[in-house]
Amino acid sequence: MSFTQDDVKKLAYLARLAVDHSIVEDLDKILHFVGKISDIDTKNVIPMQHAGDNIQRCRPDEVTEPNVRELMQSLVPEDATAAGLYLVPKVVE
Amino acid sequence: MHNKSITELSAELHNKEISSVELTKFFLERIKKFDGKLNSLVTVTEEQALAAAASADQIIAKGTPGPLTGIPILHKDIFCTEGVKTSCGSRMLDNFVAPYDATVVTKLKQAGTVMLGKTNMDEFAMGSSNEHSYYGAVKNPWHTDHVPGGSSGGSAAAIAARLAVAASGTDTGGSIRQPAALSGITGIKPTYGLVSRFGMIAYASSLDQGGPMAASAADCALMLQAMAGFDSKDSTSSKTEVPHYKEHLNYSVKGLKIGLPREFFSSDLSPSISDAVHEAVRELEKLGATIKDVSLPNTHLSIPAYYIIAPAEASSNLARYDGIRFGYRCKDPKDLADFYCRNRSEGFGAEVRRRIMIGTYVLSAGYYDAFYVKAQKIRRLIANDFSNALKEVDVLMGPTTPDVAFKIGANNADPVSMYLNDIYTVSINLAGLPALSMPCGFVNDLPVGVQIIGNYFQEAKLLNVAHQYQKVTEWHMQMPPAFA
Repeated sequence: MSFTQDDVKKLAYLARLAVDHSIVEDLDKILHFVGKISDIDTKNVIPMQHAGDNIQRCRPDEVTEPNVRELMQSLVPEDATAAGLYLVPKVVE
Repeated sequence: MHNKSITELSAELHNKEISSVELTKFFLERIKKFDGKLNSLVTVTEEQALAAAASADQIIAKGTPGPLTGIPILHKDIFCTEGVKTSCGSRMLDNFVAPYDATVVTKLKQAGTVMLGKTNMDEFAMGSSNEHSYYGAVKNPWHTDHVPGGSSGGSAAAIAARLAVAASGTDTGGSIRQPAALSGITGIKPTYGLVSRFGMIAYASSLDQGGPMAASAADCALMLQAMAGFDSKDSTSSKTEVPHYKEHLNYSVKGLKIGLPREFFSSDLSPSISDAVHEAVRELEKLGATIKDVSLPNTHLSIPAYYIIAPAEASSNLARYDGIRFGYRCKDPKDLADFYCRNRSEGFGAEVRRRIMIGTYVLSAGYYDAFYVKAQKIRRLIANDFSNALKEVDVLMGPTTPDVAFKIGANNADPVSMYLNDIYTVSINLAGLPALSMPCGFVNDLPVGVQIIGNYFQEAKLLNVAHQYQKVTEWHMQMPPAFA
């Protein structure tokens, strides 16, 4: 299996990235390298999602954090906020 | 001064032979004098450091210091530090000032340490050489044409050159142990869940783990004591009780069963590294340890499995960087789609983009089972190998890296050749086990690291074995001549 330019275009769109076409060769090499696991018999092996098979811990559904909206909005570059909202390029003219 | 251990410096601070402010100024001077040659720091926090040192001196004056009070340290720039730039080695976060402290940072502050600055790293912890940083490559203090290892390469180089007493690092596939080995220092990757990940910028969440880097195992023990422990802010944090590491350091290793995984000594390993590692094992034999040949038959699958699982988790974790609420914003976007795409493409470096693409691919419809689920099954086989081997022996030992530090630029043409540097480290992350790397010799004037791997939550055992080795050897006390 190898990457085509179309595959890369589709992936780049999914990842919201613009990539150089030279990446095709690198991705091909990596895919070929990691693909060797496909020959291994893993019948009846349960996938391991987490080290030590940790069980996701839940907490009571209670408010524990204060509202820090101003602090969070102070992180936005170039002061791109207005009236407590974040500014992005126009979607509708 | 810069050659002293935490215990020695702590005694001098407690006896008021030196103040924390003096000690802090001493190391800030070393940073000014030497870091130009290393590029190990992204940010120096001189003002905050001197204020923290003054507070530490007050605590010492009151007579209530702990073992780390007033000790100057560095944090890898992956840990959020309130009010201080936290870049993660990326253009994406070059303008990011963290609004809160990571739990590791909070805990080390509470222990009285003094942060001197933030260390350089491979962007988003993706790399084994520290060449993939927005802030430029870090140099190995033993030979500045060579890499210090990565991704915690800034922490490793800074400690090797004694620009601070200890540093934090993180290890997703070897990023504490590999740079520790290549730079000639000691570092421990704890069991997954021992050290909180809260405020530690995520790369691959099921593998990421923070830990200490320092000259010796004894220093790492004191650092880990402060860093470890349950944190309700990290949903994968373990409630396992943290032992008193220092108390375990002086146990005898008589009767300790050491397993040597035969797959770690295959033809991929440089013969001179193999000799140095065997020599370290012989030292422990002299102290009464016994050796057994063991097998980890799926070792050769660990890099392929890792380079599916880690990029998959990374592509998901890094989806948050859209440049809207924080981080890099491009100039004059055409529309919203262009805005997202350019923020991410201009904000991320080549290796990060590559891993996001791989991750997106292995998680996409039609490939999910063939790659991602398959890799998780391989992960189970690898973890089973370790659990079988650790039924027969107390610890496993082997090389940390297949060779000594390579030259800057040597592995840049082919990403796969770079990934192969992680051959002896990634399997430990996949299993979630703890492992320590410590210096055990030199080849061509570059340091060699030996790795000790233990069972879950056996950090005290690893630090004990390493400390006993360091009591009878001097490799960990060697300093790069240009920084002595």
